[in-house]
Amino acid sequence: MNIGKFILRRLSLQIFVLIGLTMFTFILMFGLPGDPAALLFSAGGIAAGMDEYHAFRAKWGLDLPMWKQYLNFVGNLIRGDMGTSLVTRAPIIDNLRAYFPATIELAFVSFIFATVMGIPLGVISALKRNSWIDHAIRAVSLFGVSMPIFWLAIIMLIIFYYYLGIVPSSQRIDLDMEIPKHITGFYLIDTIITGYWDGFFNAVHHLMLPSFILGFSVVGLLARVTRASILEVISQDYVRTARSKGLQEKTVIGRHVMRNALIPTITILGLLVGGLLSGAVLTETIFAWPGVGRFAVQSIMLLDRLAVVDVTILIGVAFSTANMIVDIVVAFLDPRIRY
Amino acid sequence: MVDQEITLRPQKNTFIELINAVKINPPAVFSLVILFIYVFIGLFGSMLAPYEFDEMGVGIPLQKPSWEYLFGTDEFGRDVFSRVLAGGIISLRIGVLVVGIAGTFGSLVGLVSGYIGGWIDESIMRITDIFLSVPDLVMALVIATSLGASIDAAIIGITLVRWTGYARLIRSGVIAEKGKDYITASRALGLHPSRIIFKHIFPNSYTATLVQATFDFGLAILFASGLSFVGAGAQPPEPEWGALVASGRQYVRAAWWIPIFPGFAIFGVVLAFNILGDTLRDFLDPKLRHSMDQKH
Repeated sequence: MNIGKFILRRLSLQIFVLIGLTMFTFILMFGLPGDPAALLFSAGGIAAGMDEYHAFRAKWGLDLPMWKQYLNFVGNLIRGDMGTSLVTRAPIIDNLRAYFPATIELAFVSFIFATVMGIPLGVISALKRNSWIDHAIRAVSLFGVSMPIFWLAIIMLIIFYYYLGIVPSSQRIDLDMEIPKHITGFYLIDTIITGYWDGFFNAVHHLMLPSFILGFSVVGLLARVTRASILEVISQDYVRTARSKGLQEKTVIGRHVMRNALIPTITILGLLVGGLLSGAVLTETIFAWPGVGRFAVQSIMLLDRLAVVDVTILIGVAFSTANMIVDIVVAFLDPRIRY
Repeated sequence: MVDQEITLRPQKNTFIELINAVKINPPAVFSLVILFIYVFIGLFGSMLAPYEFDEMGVGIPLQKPSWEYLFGTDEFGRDVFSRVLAGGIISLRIGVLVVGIAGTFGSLVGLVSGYIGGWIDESIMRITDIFLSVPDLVMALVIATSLGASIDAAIIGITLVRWTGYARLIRSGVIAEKGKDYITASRALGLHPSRIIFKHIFPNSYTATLVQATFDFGLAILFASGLSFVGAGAQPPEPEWGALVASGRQYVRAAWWIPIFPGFAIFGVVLAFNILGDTLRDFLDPKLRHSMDQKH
């Protein structure tokens, strides 16, 4: 199969998955017992008669059959309208536009941290197999994947915020600082563009602890996979051949081992993005980080069904697109995958 | 003659081999000790607890850990140690149910999907793709909330995101085995498909599932604690460990012990399952075992 055909097939799978995802989350949130309008009326304590209640249901299309509601929802989604929240009465897309860059910024910095730490640790671990340094790295990796991220965050806050007082405990920027002008929504980029250096350093300061914690939760995964794939490659016959024909160890490792061991590591990057987005939900909740993870939790607690559906779809699109890109990159690197 | 053959070729017993492998592996011993304590606490924790987990005012509120209150007291003067002990059974139940249901259901789906193939296989795999399109914890969070935010809702949510792993694992094992000669021979002999699946194919592809189940036990506990932490799982006053961390969070400045000890319990148990999973995988993977032998 040539690469073009592979990409086409992968894209059609992506479209199918996203349609399935919208259907699944929609049915999950709206198909279950419970009338959102009734809930809202009783929760809001609105003194309303049956007329208002029915008018409300008709206005928001809640009296239509499920499948019609779903089609309306998808139709609007395609036109870029994510609907209006029944709880906040605000267009949900405005919330997502404000919160999504915050999550991506946090996840991206964590991703960089995890890659810069995880891959070299995995390499060292594999090359110094069974030495004390290998054992130490493996222990740290195991701790990382076994620790509840919210618990680690609390410990770090006790040490670095309460006792040492060297990091802020919440938000993306100090409350008394001017919020960077919204250009991309990424504070690190926006502050550089506008030359707002105080804001830049403050944003970095705020990012440090949450991104370290989020990154640490996936460093172990990356180090383990890198270690395992290097060990797998290093025992192959062609590596022995390369050594026996007198190549320098540096060349053997760099040219023959690393290149081939890289593929499983790249494959795991998709999973890593999933881990980061999952972890972001918890990290954002603790650090009051105004991202989509915290928005998802808040919407869930407010029973804001449409917002939950929208934010789930957004996270799903981000995650499955990352996976698709990884699949295509791997197919480029390894022709066997394209079968 | 027969006797001689036995002495020449001692019978291999996987279980004994496993025990011998564990004996020379300190982390594995450590993990088994932790898991033994964990199961013991799960089964008898509330009997061992010095106080009722929800009894308020057994001590002065927000007391430091002491001999009388090993993990200190919380904002209502409840004994944190008793609460952690009482939470053991909750996490044990979560792990057993998630791994039991997701493992059984996922394995069955994988067996059928892989063996039958064709459009049934194709549709099942596309369904797993949909489940895998959202990060697990986010998906579990949405499902648990829509079912009403309780421990059972969290269990269902986590089960629904974990079964796909087993289905895919078993399916690929089945597909690898399906083409082999002994299966063709069984078919030619006219064996019933269910017999072929359960007697021949499953025993040859379940080891990876066993490893997966070990990791998943820890993962289920970790996920459930995360769901409880954000309010989509256990609700107060249930002493689920994640919920205990969440409720102690606001007092952390005055009383670090309220969230730290329950969190440590989660960490210890999940760590033990991960070490055990690693040990099992190294042991059951013949390729790795071979290279380990070479080392000695």
